[in-house]
Amino acid sequence: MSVEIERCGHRVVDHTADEIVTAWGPTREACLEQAALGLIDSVADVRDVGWCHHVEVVLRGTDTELLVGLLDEIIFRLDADDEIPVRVRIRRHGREVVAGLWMADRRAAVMAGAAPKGVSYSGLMIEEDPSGLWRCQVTVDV
Amino acid sequence: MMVPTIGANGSEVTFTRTSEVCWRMEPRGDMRVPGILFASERLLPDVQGDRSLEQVANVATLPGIVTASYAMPDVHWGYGFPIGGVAATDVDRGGVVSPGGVGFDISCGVRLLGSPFDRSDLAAHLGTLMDELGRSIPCGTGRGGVWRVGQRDELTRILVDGAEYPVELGYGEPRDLDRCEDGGRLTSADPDQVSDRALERGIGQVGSLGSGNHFLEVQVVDEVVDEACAAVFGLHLGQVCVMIHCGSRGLGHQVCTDHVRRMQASMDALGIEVPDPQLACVPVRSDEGRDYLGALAASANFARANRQWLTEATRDAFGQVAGRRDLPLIYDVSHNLAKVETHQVDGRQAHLCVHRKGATRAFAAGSSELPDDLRAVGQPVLVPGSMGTASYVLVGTSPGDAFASCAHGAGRTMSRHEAKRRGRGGRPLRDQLRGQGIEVRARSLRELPEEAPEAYKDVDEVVRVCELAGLARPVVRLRPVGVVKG
Repeated sequence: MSVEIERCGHRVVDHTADEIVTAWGPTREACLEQAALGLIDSVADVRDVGWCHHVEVVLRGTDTELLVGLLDEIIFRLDADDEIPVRVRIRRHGREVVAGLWMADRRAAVMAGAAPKGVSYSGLMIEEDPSGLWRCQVTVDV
Repeated sequence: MMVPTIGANGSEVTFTRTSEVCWRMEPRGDMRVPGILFASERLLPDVQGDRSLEQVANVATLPGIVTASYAMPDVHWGYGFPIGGVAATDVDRGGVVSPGGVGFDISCGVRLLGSPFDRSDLAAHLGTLMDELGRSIPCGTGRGGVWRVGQRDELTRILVDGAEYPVELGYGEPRDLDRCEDGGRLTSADPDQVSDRALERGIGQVGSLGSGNHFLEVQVVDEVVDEACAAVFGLHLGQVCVMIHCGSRGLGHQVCTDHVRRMQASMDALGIEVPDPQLACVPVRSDEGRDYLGALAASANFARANRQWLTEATRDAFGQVAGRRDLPLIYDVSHNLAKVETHQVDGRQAHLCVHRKGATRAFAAGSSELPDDLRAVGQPVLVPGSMGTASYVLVGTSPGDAFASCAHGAGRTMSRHEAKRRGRGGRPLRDQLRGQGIEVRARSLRELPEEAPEAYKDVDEVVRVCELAGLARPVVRLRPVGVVKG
């Protein structure tokens, strides 16, 4: 199925040394959720992995800051805690955005690619297009 | 011959050939200096799929940049700076420092160990040795290192003392420090500028390779180009060596993230505009600039200590399997760093903040930065190829160019996904390499094709261009016989 007619999704685009994650969804929150899932997919196959505990992370700032903050949080937890989210839910809570992350032991997942180091601001984009679809693009250093 | 590309802020620019291996882009738009690319026609970046030349133009807009924005022969598309980019700013004339000119993996670098063994000595042990190295060298995502940090205080010691700290504990010998850039320790480290999040990421990763293109290789010297220089370095034909490629792990990555964000918040007030937000920068002589350079030095010290502990783990593996652990350090270089150095600019001595992102310092003979024995010949420059091809040791030459810099590797030509798509899978690649006499140990065969030799430029050609451009000249070539993939 063409990605253009799916209302929600993500994919990884070629970049010589890094990874470009693109994502889209009908709302800003859905778009953020897909970006997180895109990052996770580029690291590991978590389809058969059960979650151990649930955390909620409060994100603040511009749309760009929300996107970078969300992906930074996942990268941080991979390094510091050896944990990876297997499910992500983003919801608006007043002026804030709350990221619900269902965390699993990273070692239970099948690793699919190099570990992400950080989120680059080069070519970073998140916006609502004229059709009402939210799209984002982010380069992740691996 | 001309190569069209897109310059800063979308203006069209061209690189014009000025010699067999040198291309020049005259300044256009906001560019303050020209762009200079060292490449043969074979090494020219693919203009369609690789935007590194546009990034060379963007770097040329940085406040205080002097002489040129340089691209090494292995240049490829990065973010902010290209990978293989070199730029220097004049510290006394408002020159800036940019974390994008260093990259996330601060002080990522390469070290080479010699050994008392020749290829034939190890032939019978190679499989066992690789098994032991594969078991004992931590690699991949997340926590795990050969050294368990006791408390935060100990991590601060590592940030302040670098490779001196493990050597002081008996993990190495004082001579190791002589063969490290900066003696294994940057004295300008300021651990207070390293955030709690950075400490949390790094505390469980001391003595680990990481993933991606990081590796530990057992190699053999298969060609000696300059016998006298090789002898000074401690290398000879047929000798077994070990090359280790890794950096400052999550600690350095977080330092980059934190300080780019802080600089972005300051740039409006400082009146600085850049064509790419990852080129966020501030004057070296500003609070934000000093803080970043202090955190950068602390991260570099972490990276040198990291490589020192991996060196000791390697020596232990050799001792256990082959009966000898005397593997002398040939040299340790960082290829992602910004440092204040003194260079000649327009006939005067200038203090420059030299950014090398995917580029190696290459000091010539006579440099006061080199230990006595190396000062006579120049600095060893380590240029790893891909697994399955070759790596090189070069030596810095005089007068050099690009502020005494050289290539840092073969340089990718293919994205990781393309390498996987085109490859035949991890198991056939491992078997193919085994057929070439190269034993691979990888925690995941699925990721192996990402680093297939076909994904990289021809390292022999990169080294040929380095020599023709006067950046450095080859001393020995090494080929791999065993790879622990990160």
